Amino acid sequence: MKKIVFFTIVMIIAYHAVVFELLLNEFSPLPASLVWILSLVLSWWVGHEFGHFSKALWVLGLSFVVAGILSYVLIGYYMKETLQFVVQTLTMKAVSVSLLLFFTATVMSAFFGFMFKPRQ
Amino acid sequence: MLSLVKRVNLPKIVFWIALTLVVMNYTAGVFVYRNYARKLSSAKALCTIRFEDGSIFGKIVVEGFEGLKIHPVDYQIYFYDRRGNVLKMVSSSMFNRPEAEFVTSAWTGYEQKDWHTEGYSNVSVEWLWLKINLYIPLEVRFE
Repeated sequence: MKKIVFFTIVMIIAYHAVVFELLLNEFSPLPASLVWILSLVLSWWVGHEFGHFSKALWVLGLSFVVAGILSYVLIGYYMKETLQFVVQTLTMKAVSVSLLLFFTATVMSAFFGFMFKPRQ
Repeated sequence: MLSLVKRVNLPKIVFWIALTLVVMNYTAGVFVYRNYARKLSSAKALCTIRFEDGSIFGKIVVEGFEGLKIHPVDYQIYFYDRRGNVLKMVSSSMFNRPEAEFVTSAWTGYEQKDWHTEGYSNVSVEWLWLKINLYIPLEVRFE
C-alpha cells in the first residue's frame, strides 16, 4: 500500500511536469524531450517495482487523472498574467495528442519494466 | 562485494536522479515563467506630446523592464481624425536607447480636439536564455 501511494505521487509529479513542460518549454532549462525520457524512466520503475502489472496500471491511471485535474487547476493559477506569445505557440490539439501519446508511452514503458524484471 | 552493491543500487540511483531532474526542471520552469511574466507586465512605453506654434514635440520613454536587457527597436505614432483617417504619422528608429525625441510640424486645425492618437513600440527583450520581440502600445500623454 505504501509503495502504491509512493509511486502514485511520483507519477503525478511526472505527468504534471510533462504537462507543464509542454506549456513552459522555453522557460525551463531542460528540453521537453529529455523530460519525457526522464518520466519514462520513472514509469519504467513503476512497472519494475510491482509484482502484478495490474497494480502498475492502476497507479498510472490514477496518477494520470489526478495530475490532469491538478494541472488544469494550476494552469489557472500560474498563468494569470498569460503572455500572448505563449498562447500563440500553444494549441490545444498538440497538447492533447502529446498527452495521449505520452500516456500510452508510459504504460508501455512500465510494462517493459515489468516484463524484464528478474524473477526468482 | 562492491560490484554487487553497485549493481543493486544503480537502477535506484538512476531513478532518484530522474525524479530530481524532473522536479528541478519543473520548479525552475515555473519560477522563470512567473518572474518573466511579472517583469514583462510591468513594462510600458510612455509618450509625452506637446504642441507649440504649429509643431509637435514628442518624447518616448520605454521603462519598467527591471533586470531585463532591452533593445528598443523603433516606434510609430499615428494621429487619426474622427473618421479614422491618418492625419500624421511619426515613426523612427530608437537605436537601442530607451528614450527618443522627435519634432515635426503639426497639421492645420490641430487645435480642434477632434482627433485621437495611437502608437506602438517594438522592443527586443533578453533575459537569461529567453529572447523575444515585444510590441508595446504607447501610452500617450499631452502636456
